[in-house]
Amino acid sequence: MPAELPRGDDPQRDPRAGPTRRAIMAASAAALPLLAVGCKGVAALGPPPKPSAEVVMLRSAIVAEAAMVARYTAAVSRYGGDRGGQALATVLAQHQQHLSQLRARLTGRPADTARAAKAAGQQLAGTSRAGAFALLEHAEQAASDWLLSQLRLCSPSLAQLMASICAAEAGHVPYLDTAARP
Amino acid sequence: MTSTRTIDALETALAGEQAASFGYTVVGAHLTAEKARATADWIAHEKARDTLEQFLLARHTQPPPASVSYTLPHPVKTPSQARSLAIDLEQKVTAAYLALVAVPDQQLRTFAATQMRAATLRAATWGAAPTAFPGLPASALHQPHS
Repeated sequence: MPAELPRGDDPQRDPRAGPTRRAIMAASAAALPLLAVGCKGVAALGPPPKPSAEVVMLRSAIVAEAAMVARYTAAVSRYGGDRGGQALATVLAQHQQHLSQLRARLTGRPADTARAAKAAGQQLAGTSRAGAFALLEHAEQAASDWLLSQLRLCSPSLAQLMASICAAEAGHVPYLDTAARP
Repeated sequence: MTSTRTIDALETALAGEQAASFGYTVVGAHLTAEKARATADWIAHEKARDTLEQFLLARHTQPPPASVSYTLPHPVKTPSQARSLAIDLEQKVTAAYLALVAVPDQQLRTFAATQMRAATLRAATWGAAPTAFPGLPASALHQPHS
């Protein structure tokens, strides 16, 4: 009785059954040097560099500005038709410009704004008109204060943009206050 | 040693405050009901001017004196024109701090940004419409691709 052939070496084997054990072992042996070189290469490069403090801050500024846009978009949809509606639309347009300028200065991976924008857009739900304006004024003041606190992390040209946006957002507070009056 | 850029930025901001201090004497002279506000804003500019002079002196630089007179951007004979002048002064002061906000010194940078914000708020109380980028020239902004 002939000795049983190892599985995989059967000349009658159906070729559609996939690669043989021998073929896999041969391929693995050939791949080992490549894997070793690959691992050495990864070790030589080290972990990817952390983004600079300025980039981290800029991403945060973009997320905050996208949230502001979402808040005003919700406010315009609710109060766009009344006396304060034009003011809301004006401020919304300015925040969209802020967002555009901040995004233009970010290189690499874009900031993930979807979650913050969704949450911000829902903040006005259930508030009165006066409450909505008060919420927006508070958000503007907080954003302005935050930008002021982050200037130390900025390159010169970004510092100018951030200081200008900081001033603009503070300036929205009295504008909204006037617009909120019935 | 303080860089020439920082000294230049301090002097530019000082020139803006000196002009605003002068301008507010004209604003106040044409207002009655809002005279107290004009006086308060004039004092704010005087204080900022004094602080900028101190910053220069601390850096061994003699502050340049104010001009003997300034040319107003438009004639001022009515309260409405006085309010318009106040807005113009505040917007020019905001722009005058732009170079100072870009210097490496954190104290100066924060002072400049705080003054830009204060000037924008004062302009708003005088009736200025909000702008997206107070003090920033259009050339400093990224232009969207068409």
